[in-house]
Amino acid sequence: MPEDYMDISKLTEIALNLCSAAPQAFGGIVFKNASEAHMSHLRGLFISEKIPVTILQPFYTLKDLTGGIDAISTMSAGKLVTQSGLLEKPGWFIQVMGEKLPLENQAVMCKQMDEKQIGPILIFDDSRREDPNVLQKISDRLAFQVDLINVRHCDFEPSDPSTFDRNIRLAAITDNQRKALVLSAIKLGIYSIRPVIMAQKATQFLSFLDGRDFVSNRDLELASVMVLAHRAIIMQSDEPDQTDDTTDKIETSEKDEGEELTHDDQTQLLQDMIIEAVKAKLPSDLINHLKMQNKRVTNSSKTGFGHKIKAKVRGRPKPSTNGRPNGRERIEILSTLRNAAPWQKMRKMQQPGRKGLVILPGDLQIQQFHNRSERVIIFVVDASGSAAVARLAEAKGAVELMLANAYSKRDFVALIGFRGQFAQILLEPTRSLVQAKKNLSSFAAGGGTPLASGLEKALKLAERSRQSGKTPVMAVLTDGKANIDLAGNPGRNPAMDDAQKIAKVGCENKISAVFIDVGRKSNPNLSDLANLMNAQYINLPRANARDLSESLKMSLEKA
Amino acid sequence: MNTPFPFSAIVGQDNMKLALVLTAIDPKIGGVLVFGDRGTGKSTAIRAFADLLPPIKVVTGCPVNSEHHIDVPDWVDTASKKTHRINTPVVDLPLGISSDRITGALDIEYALIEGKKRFQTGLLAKANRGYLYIDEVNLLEDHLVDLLLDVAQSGENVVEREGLSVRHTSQFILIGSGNPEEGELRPQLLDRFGLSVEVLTPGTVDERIEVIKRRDDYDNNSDEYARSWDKENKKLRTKIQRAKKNLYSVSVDTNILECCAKICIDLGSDGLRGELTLVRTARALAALTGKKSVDIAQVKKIAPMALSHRLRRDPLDDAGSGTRVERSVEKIIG
Repeated sequence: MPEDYMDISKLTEIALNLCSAAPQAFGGIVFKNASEAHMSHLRGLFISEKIPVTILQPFYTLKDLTGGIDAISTMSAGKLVTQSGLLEKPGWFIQVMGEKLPLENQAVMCKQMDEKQIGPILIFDDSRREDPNVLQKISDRLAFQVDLINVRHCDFEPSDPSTFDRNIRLAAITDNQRKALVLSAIKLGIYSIRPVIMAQKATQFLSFLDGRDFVSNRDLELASVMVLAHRAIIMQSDEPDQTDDTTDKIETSEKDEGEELTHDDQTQLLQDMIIEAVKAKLPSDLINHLKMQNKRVTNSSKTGFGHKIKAKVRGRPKPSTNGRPNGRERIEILSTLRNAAPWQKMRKMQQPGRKGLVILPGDLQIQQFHNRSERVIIFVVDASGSAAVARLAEAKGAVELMLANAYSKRDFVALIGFRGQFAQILLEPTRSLVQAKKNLSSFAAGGGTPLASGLEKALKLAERSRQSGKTPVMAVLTDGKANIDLAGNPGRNPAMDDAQKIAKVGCENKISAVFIDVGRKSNPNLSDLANLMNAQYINLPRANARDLSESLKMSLEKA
Repeated sequence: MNTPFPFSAIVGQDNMKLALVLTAIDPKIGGVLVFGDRGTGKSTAIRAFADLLPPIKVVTGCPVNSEHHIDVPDWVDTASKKTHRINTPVVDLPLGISSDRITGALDIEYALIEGKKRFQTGLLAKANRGYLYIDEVNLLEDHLVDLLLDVAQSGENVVEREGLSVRHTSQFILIGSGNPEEGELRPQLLDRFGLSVEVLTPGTVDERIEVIKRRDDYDNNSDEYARSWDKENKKLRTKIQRAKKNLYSVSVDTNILECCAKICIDLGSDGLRGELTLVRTARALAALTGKKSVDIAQVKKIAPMALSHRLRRDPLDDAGSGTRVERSVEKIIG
C-alpha cells in the first residue's frame, strides 16, 4: 500500500483536481467532520486562486437556488426583475451544514447537475456515523468523500485545484479493468451504477494527470479507494450470510461464463487487488460497523433544520387575503404586487412626482396557511422473551396497517424496539411503507425487558419530533414485566423504578401516550406506570394486527 | 444540456421503455409512473424519450399549442393563420415551482408598464398536447399535486385570480419518476397514472459493463454517439407512427374484455380505470407488434404495469404488488 493513499491532504488534492478537470463527471466532494480550520483552509484555496465560490446554506429555499421573480427589485424598479438562481452562478459551490440539507434542495441540486453544466459542489457534512444519512440523494452524484475526523488542521494542506483547458485526452481503459471495477463494486455491495461510471472516469483522469495514455493498475486502485471505499456496504468475503438476492443473481451469472479462463483470471486478480485496497482504506472499526449496517436502521428522509423552518411558515398555502401584516403574519409580496400592478398608471397620474411603484395599504395581501400539524406515532414495542414472538409479529402488522393509511391522516410512524439490554430505534419517523417493511423484517425477538430504556429512547425521539414541528404520540406495546434497568443491569425492582422515573419525565413533558398491555393477564404495574405518565391503559390480551391497529387508532384519537 | 442520450441505446429497462412507447401510441392510456432506486437511469430514459417523439402541427403564435385555428382560446391575440411543426412538447416541472408558474397568472411586467391586465401562460399551457414530466414526483408539495390532479382529470386549466378569468385546454400525459424510499405517493395521484413501472439496477455483470461502456462513449462525444444510433431511433419512431395509425383498426373481442374485467374484480382494484387502461394498453401493444386483434398474450404482458399501482395496499401480504397481479392473471387466464 503506497503511503499517499493514507495521506488525506494528498487525496483531497487529487479529488479537487479531478473535480476541477471534469465537474460533470465527478460532481464534487463530501467532507465529513471538517473543523472550522479545515474549512477556512479550503476556502482560502479558492480565494487565492480567484476561483468564484458560492456558499450555499441549508435553509435556502428552492427559489433561491433556481431563481424566480425578485419582488423587492421589481417594486423599486417598477418593472419585472427576475433574479437568477444561486446554482446558475459560475465556479464552485460550497454547501455548509450539509447534515441539515432538506431532500427537496438536494433534488433540485441533482437536477441542475444533470442538466446544466454547473461547477463542482463541496459539501461539509457534520453528521456522525450513527446519524441517519441525510445526504443520501445528492451524495450518490458526488464522487468523493473525505473524512477529516482525525486530521489535524495543520496537516491538512491540499494545494489549490489546477485549471484545465477543455482538451483533455482520456486514457483508454481495458475491458479487463472495466470488468474488474464492475465486479468489485458488486462485491462491495454498491448496486447503483453511477459510482462505477465515476470510478472508471476517475481512473482515466488519474492517468491523464499522470501524463500517461493508458490506465495503470495503480490508477485503478486509487480510483476505487477514492470513489468506492466510502460507499461500501458489505464485505462479502467475510460475511457470506449477508449477500442479498441481487448479488446472488449476479454471482451465478458470473460463474456461467467460463470461456476464457486466462482473461477471467486477470479480471479476478484486478478485482482482488481493488477489494484489498478498499479494505485497507477502511478503518477496522468501520468494517465491523459495515457488517452491522444491514441490520441497522436506515435513514429517514425527514431530518434537518430546513424542515423545521418550513414546517412553521409553510403548511398548505391558502389563497392570500387582504389585510395588514402584524408580528405573526407575512406579506405575500407577489400577490400584493399583482393587486397593485393594474393601478400603477392611474396612480402615477395622480402623484406625478413619485418614482417607483405606488402601493396603497389596501393592496397588501397576507399569506395564509392551513395549519395542520403532522403527527408522529412512536411505537415502542417489547420484543423480549416474555412478550412472545407472536406478539411482535402482530405489532409489526399493526405498524404496517397504520402506515398504510398514514398518508391521508398525515401521520408519520416511528418504531422503537426493546429487548436484551437496551432499546433501539428501528425506524426513524417515516411515511414510507417500503422503508418500514424493510426495517421491520430484520427485527428479532428474545432476551430481557429493558422497558425503561425503551421509554427513554421514545421520549427523546418525541422531543426531536416536537422540535421539527410535529406532534408526537407514543404507543407502548408491552407486558410490563420490566427486568433490566437503564444502565443495562438485570433486576426487577430497579428496572421498574427506572421505568417510573422516565414515565414521570414523560408526564412533565406532556407527551401523550397509550399503553397497551399485551400480556395474558393484565399487569397492575403497567397500569400504574400509565397513570404516572398520564397515559391511557388498554388491556388487549388476544388481539391480532387488525384489532390492534383499530383500537390504537381509536385511543390515539383520544390521546 | 447537449444532445440527449439516444433512447434505443438504453440497456435493458424494457418495461420502462415499452410503457413510454405505448403512451406515445395511445395518449389516452394516461401517464407513466417510473419508480426505482438511485442511478438506474430513470431520468435519462425520459429525457431520451422526448427526443424520439414525432413532431406535431401547431397554430403559429398560439401559446397553448392548438392544432387548429378554431381551438385557439379567445384571450389569445397573438395567433396567426399559419401553422407550423414543433417537436412534441415535453415540459419539465421542477420542484419548488410556484403554482403561478404552473397555471399561469397575471403578466406583471405588462401590468406595471401598460397598466392593463394580461394573462401570462404557465407550464400547463406549454405542455398541452405533449408530456408533463415531474422528476421526484413524491417530493412535490401537496397543493401542487392537487392542482395537477384537477387539470389532468378535466383536461382544462381554469385560472380565476387577480381579476383574471381564463381557461384553456391542457391535455397532457403525466410522467412521474421517483424513489419510493424517499416518500410515498398519494393513492389519488397513483391512480391517475395509467401505467407504472419499477426499474431495477441492471442484474448481470455483462449488462452493467455494457451500460458503462455506452455511457462512456456518449460522454466522450455525445453528438457522434447520438448519430450512430439515429437509424435505430428512426426505426422505432416509424414503428410508433405506424402503430398509431393502425390503433383503431385493432379489434378487441368480448372474451378479452371479459377477461380484463375478471382480473380487475379479482384484484379488487377501485373504479373502472383499471379495466379501461388494461384494454387500451393491450390494444396499443397489439398495434405496436402489428397484430390485427388483441389476444390474451398482450393482456398478460401488460397487466402488471397497468394494474400494480391500483391495488389496495394490503401490508400484511408480503408479495409485491407486481407479483399479486401476476398471480391473479395466472388464475384467471390459467
